[in-house]
Amino acid sequence: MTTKSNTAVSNEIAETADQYLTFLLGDGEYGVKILQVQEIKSWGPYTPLPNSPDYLLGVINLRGSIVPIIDLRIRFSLEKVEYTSTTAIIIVHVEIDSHTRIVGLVVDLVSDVHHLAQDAIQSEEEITGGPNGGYIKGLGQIGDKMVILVNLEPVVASSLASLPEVPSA
Amino acid sequence: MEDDELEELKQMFLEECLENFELLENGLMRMGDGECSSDTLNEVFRAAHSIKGGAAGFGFNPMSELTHHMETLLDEMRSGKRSVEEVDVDLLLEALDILQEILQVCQAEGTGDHENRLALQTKLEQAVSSSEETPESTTAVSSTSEEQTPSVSSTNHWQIKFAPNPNFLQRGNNPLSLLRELARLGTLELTLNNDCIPEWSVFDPNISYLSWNAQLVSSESEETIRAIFDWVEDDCVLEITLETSSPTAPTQVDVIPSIESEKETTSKEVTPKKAEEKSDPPAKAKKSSAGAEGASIRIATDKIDQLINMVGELVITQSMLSRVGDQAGPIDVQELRERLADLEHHTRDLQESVMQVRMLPISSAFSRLPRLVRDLSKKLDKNIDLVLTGGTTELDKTVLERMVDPLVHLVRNSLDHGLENTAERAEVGKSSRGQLELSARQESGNVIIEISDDGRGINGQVILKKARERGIVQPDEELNDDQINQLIFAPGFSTAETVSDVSGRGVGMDVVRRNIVDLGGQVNVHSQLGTGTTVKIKLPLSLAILDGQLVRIADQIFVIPILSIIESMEVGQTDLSVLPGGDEVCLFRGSYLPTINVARQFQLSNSSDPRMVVIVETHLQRIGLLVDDILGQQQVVIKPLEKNYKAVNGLAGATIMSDGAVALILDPNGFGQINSVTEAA
Repeated sequence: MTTKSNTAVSNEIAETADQYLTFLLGDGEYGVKILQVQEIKSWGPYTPLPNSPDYLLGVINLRGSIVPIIDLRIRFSLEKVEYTSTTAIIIVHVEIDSHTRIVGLVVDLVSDVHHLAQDAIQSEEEITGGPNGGYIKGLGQIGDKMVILVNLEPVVASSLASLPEVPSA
Repeated sequence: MEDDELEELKQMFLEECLENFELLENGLMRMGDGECSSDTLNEVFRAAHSIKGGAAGFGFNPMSELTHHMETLLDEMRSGKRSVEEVDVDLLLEALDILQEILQVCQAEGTGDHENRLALQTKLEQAVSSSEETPESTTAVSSTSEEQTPSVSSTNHWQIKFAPNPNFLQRGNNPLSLLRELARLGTLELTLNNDCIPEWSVFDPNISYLSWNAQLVSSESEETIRAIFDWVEDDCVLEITLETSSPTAPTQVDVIPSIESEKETTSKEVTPKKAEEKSDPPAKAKKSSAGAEGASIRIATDKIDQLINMVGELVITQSMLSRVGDQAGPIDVQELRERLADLEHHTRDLQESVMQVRMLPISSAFSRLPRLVRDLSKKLDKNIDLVLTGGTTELDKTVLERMVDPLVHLVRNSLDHGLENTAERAEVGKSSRGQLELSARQESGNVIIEISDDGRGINGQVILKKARERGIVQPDEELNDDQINQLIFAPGFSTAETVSDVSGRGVGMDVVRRNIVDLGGQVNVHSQLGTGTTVKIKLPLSLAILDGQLVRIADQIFVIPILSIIESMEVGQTDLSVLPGGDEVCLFRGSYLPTINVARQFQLSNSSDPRMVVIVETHLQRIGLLVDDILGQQQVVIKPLEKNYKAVNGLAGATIMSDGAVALILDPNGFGQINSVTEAA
C-alpha cells in the first residue's frame, strides 16, 4: 500500500523533473526547470538599485519580500526591447552557497510547459565543443523549434555577485 | 529521541543557570554592601541550590561540587552561625566567576571544569572550617567571624530520618505537608532517598517509595518536632537525634577526599592566574553576549495573552469585513469605513504587542555593572557610589545585548579617567565618595542612556594637544569645545598617560561609538572641567522598525533614518561650494561638511538640481546629503537586501510603502565609506 503510493509519488516527481517552463526572449525560445519556478508575475513597477549592473533592473515587493529582478535580455546581451503587456517576471528559487535566493527573471513572454526527457537534450559541449560559461544546460527540440535550456545557478550567481563598478568620479 | 529530550533539558538547565548566576551575583553584591536580610540570604542560597541540584542531575560534577561548597558557606550565614563578612563575599564572587566559566565550557563542549576550581573549593572549605574553631585556620578569612559564631545556647541541630511505610499514601497522608510543617520550625535541609523506587513496570503510584533525611536547625524541643508526626507515627519510621556539631561538615569532607593533598600547591598558584582573568572582563562579556544571539527568549505570559487577545480581535474584525463585502446590494460605505478603521486600530496594536515580545528591561544590562564598579573601585582605590535609575526602560533584545560591552567600557572609563580618588576629591572640595550615575529613559521613540560622573571632567586643551600629536587633528585646525569633546571617540585616541589594564589603549571609545552607530544610535559627550562628564547615548527602540524621513531623489523615494538626521535645510540657505576635483562642501554651524549628491553617487539620472540638504551623523563625521525634496515622516519596517541580493554600499535595506512599492533606506555610514573609497581611488 505504502510502497505503491511512494512509487506513484516518485513517478510524479520524475515526471515534473523533466518538465520545463519555456519563454521567449526575442525570437529565441528558452526553458528553465519547472521545479525551480515559484510563480509568474505580470510586469509592473520596480525600484531601481543604485550602482548595480544594467541587467539588474532593481527590486520588487513579493508579498513582503524584497526580490531582485534580472532582465534576461540584457543579461544574455540580446537586443533591448520595450516592456509590453506580455512581459512577465518568472519568480525562481535558486540555491547559491547553500542559501536559497528568490529572484525574478524578466522575459518577453511565457509560452508553455514541455516535457523533455534527459536523452532528448543535447548537452552544450556536444554542440559548441567546449563549455561556454555554463549558462546553458543544453539544447532541446520541441516540435520543430529549438529550446535553449538555461542553467539558472551560474546565471543568477554571477548576476548577484558581480560587484557594481566603483564610480570613477 | 530520548537523547534529544535530555539534550533539550540540559539546554534549559544551562539557560536557567545564567538566570541563577545573575540572582547570585545581585544577591552577593547586596550582601557585600552590608544588606544581609534573610530574604537576600535565602535568595542567594536558593539560587546556589538550584544550580547544584541541576548540575548534579546532568552530570556536571565540577559545577555541583563547587556550588556545594558555596552552599555550605552560605548555609552558615543563613543559619546565623557566621556573620556576613566581605572576605567571604569576595570568595563567593570568585567562585561565581569560575562557575560562569565552567558553564561556558559546558555549553560548548558538553562538559567542563576549571583549573582553579579545586583550589577555590579548598579555600571555601577553609572558610567554613575556620568558623568551626579548627585550630589552624590558615586563611585570614574568618578570624573575625569566629567570635561571632553563636554558641549552641538555644539552636539545636536535629537529624531526622523519616521513612513512610509503603501504605502511607493510601491512608490519606501527605508527606509533603509534614515536611513543610517541619520547615516552619527552623532551617531545614532535606536529602531525598529514592533508592527504593522500583522498575517502571512494577511501579505502583499508590505506594510510597521515598524516604527523607532531614537536618533541622531549630530552637524547638524534640517534643514539638515529634508532635508534627503525631498523626502518622504508626505509618512511618521516624528517628530524631540531636547533633552536636555542624551537620554539613562531615558530608562535605566525604565529597572530596582526594583533594586534600593538592590543597597546598594549588592554592598558591591561584593568585596570579586570578589577576589575569580579572583584567579582562569585557572580553568575557563579549563571549557570552555573542553566544546569546539567536538564542531563545523568555516572554512573560501576560504579553502572550495580550497577543492572543489581539489576534482574536483581528479575526473578528476580518469576519465583520467579509460580511460587509458579502452583503447583497450596494456596499454600506459608512460601515465599511468603520470596520476598516477598526482593522487599522487592531493591526497597529498587534504590531506594537509583537514588538513588545522582543523588548527586555535594560536592568538586565545594568545588573552587571555593580560588580564591575565594586571590583574596579577596589583595584583603583577609589570610593564610588553607583546609582542606577530607569532600569525598567525596555529595549530590543539584540540592541540590549550589543549595548552591554559599550556600557561596561564607558563605566570603566569613568572610573579610571573621570572619577578622582578620595584624596584628590578632598583637595578640590568635593564629597569624599565619587558619584557615577547611569540612567535610562524613553524619549520620543528612542531610548536615552546617560552615564554621568562627578569626576574631573575632560580637559579640552589636553585632548586637543594629544589629538594634534597623534595627527588626528591638523596643527592649524581650530575646533570648538563640542568638537574637542567628540575627539575622545576618534580611533587610536587615549589620554591616559600610562596604559593600565583598566583602560588606556585607546581602542575603547571608538569601538564604543562604532557599536552604537551600528545599532543606529548616536553618542555624545558633554563635559565640564572639574565638575564631571556625561555621556549620552541615543538608541532606537528596535532594529526591525525605524522612524524614517521620506525624501525624493531623482523621482525615486528614499528613506533616511530620522535618528541620524541633525538638520535639514534648503540649499539656498546654506553656502554650498564646489571644491576643485568636484567634491562639494556645505557650511553648517560654522564649519564646512563634505556633501554628497546622492543622485550622482547612485548614478541616477536626475533632471532637476537638488533643492534640499540633509545633515546626517555618521561613524566618522557629519555629512550633508543633497536630495531633491523632503516628504513626510513614517515608521518603516526594515527588510534586508542581503536575503535575495546582497548588501549595497549606502543602503541599509529596503522597505515597503503603503502602495506596495519598494523604497530604499539610505545608510549614512555607507556614504562615509563610499566617499573614502573614491578619495583613495
